[in-house]
Amino acid sequence: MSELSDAELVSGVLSGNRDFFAHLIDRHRNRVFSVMLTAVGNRDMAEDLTQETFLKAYRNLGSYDSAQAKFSTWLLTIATRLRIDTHRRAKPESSLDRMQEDKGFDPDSGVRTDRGLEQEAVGQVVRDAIGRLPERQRVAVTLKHIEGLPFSEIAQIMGCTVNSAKVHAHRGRNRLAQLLGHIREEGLA
Amino acid sequence: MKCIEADRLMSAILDGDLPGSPRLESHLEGCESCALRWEALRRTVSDVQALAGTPAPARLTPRIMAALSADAAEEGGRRLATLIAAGSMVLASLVAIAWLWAAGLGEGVTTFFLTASEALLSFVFALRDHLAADSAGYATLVFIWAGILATGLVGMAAVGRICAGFVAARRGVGEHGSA
Repeated sequence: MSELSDAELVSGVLSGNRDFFAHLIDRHRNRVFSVMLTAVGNRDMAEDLTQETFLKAYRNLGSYDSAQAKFSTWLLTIATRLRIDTHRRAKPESSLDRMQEDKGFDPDSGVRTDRGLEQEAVGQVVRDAIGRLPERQRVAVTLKHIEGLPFSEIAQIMGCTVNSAKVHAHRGRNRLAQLLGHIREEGLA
Repeated sequence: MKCIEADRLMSAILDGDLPGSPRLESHLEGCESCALRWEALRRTVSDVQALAGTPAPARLTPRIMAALSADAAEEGGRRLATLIAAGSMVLASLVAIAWLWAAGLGEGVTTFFLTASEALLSFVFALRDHLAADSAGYATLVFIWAGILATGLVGMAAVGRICAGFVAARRGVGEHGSA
C-alpha cells in the first residue's frame, strides 16, 4: 500500500475502498497538523482542525484533479482556508497561556518531557508572533519556512502569482523580525 | 551597492533563489545597519524553521476514520430521508391523479398535476443539496420535507375537491338540462 501514489490512493477511495484514505491521512497528517498548530498554537484545537481538514477533503475528494495539483497542495489549500476561517472567528490565546500547556509534550504518550522545554517556550513565542502577522503574510511565511514548500506551490495554495507570494513572505519575514526583535529586547525569548 | 539592493539579495537568499552572494557579504562588512538586519532576518527564519516537524499524534488517523464513519452514517440518514420524502410525494401525486381521474376529469388536469409534482420534486432535491452542503442536519430536512409534503397534499386535496365539485355540478346541470 505504501508504494501507491497519492493519486492512486485517491482513486481507490473513490472506488469505494475507504481504508485507502487512512493511508492518505498517515502520509499527510504531520504537515496539516503543523500548519494548524502554527495557526492556533494549541494542540487540541490543532487536532480538531486537522480532523476537519481531512473530513472536508474526503467529502470533496471527487473534485480533486491530480493533473491540476499534487494531493498535498490540494489538502493544504483546504487546511489554509479552514485555518483562515478559524483565525477570523477566534482570537488566539496568548503565548504565555500556551507555554503553560504545550511545552515538552510528547504527542503520542501524552507525557510531558524535559526535552527542549526552553526551545518549546521560544517556539510558542514565535508562533504567537506569526499569529500577529496579516493573514496572507502569515500563510506565506508558514508555508515557506515551516512547510518548506516552493513558491510555485505556495502561489497555488494562496491563489496568487509566484511574485505576489514572494512579496507576502518578504513582508511577513520583515514584520516577524521586528516583532521577535522587540520580544528579545524585552527578554522573553 | 546600495542598501535597497542588499535587501533584495537578502530576500533572494532567504527565498532559496540564491545560495549566497559575495557582493552582499562585502556590503555587510561595511554597513552596520544591513548587517544587523541580516542577522535579525536569519535568526527569525531559523526560529520559524525550528517549528517544522512537530509530529501529529498517531491516534489522529483512527480518530478521523471514526469521524468519517459517523459522517457517512449521517449522510445515509439524509439519503433515506430524501427517499422517504420523494416516495411519499410521488405516492401522494398518484393518489391525487387517480382521484381526479375517477372524478371524471380529463387528461389536461392530469398532465398539470404530473408537471406540478415534478417541479415540486426538483425543488425538494435542490433544497436538500443546499441544506446538506451547510450541514443543517437531516432532522431539519425531514421537518422541511414533511411541511412541503403536507402543504402539497392539502393543496392537491383542496383542488381535487373543488374540481370534483365543479364536474359534479356540470353533470347535474347537463342532466337537468337534457331532462
